[in-house]
Amino acid sequence: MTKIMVVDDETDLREMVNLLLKKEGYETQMAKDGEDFLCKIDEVQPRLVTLDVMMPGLTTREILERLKEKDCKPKIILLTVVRFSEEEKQQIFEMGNVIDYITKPFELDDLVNIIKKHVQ
Amino acid sequence: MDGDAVEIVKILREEEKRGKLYKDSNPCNKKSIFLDESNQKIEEQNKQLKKLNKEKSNILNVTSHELRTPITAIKGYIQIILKQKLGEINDEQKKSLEVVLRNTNRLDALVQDILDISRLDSGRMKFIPEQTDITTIVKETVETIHVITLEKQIQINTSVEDSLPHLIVDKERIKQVLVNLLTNAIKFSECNSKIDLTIRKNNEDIFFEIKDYGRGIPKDHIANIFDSFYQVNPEDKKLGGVGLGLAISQGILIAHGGKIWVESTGEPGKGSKFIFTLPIHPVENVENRFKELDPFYN
Repeated sequence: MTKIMVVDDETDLREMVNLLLKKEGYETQMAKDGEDFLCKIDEVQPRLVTLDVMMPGLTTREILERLKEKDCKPKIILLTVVRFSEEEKQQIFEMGNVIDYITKPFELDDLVNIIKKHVQ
Repeated sequence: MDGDAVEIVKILREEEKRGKLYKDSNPCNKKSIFLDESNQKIEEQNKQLKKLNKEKSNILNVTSHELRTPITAIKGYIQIILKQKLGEINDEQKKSLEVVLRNTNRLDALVQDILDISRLDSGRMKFIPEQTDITTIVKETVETIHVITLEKQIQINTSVEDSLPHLIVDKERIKQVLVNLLTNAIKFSECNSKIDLTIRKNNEDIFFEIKDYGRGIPKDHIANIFDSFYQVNPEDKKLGGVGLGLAISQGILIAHGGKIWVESTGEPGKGSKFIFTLPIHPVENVENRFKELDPFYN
């Protein structure tokens, strides 16, 4: 079963995505911010992570930088409120591990489809 | 002090006083001091404005995030229940949840409009210009509004001139303009009527014309029709929207170097024709204007 980590500082949103992915048949773990995520990742060993942009504490850039030092290198899908230009996508995807993004508020089917696309 | 020293100190003090007076009274020095002080004030005000600008941007970013995140959670749970992932639901429950979802989408659209107009007003709307095929935008727009046209049985007739050049525009924003204008046309048209969408080249611009045969716009309202929150009839609120769509559309088009205007006699049945233009050669710096904005926060 594919393991996915759901990282979001908003409890309701984190639990909603967690519930959705569980119902879709994935094994899930949650983290409430960047530090929590980085602490848990080596133990959980997720294949994919949904990572909220704009969390308190570590910035997204800092999280992605520190992730490079970890053994586990999951694929990352960013949950954002903005669109990215091609140039920005290039920059962000070059940070390592980021493979896609989805803007909030999203349709559940869209999130599920993006995840399915990248874990198959 | 001895007498001579006292004398010297006195003289020095006198000289000092005279020197200060000379400095204060010399018009050249006065002007110079005035300019120095003015420059300093301008620099301080400049720093203050930059700080306020950054704060404004942060407020918009935080507002966007804080409003859209709970909407995401609400929509998510409703959809999970509607998909019966938490157990079966009966027809009445399904209908009720669909009402909740519809209103959540309405709320989300309103939040988006308010953020859009705020960003346009403060010059902080982000544009992503890319090479765009007009035929594709039109096709995608018509697909987007298809469900609304079915509700009122309205026919959208599209006529796109052959071999139109590709434009360098923010595709999603131009679609937003088209969806807004077509949605308005549908809103103010009778059932079983038609709307004509015509796109053609004219010199250095592409003209987009949206003609409906609805109630039209009275002449005395035309001058204000693109103002924020302006609605011809207060009763129009019942049809949805708060009067921001045209203001946002105008802002997007101006940013792209285009224009928008309306022709209408106000006679019911004669409808209105909204026309907007986009330049074939893109304006400079639409994308550069926003380059310094952090991609994660804008």
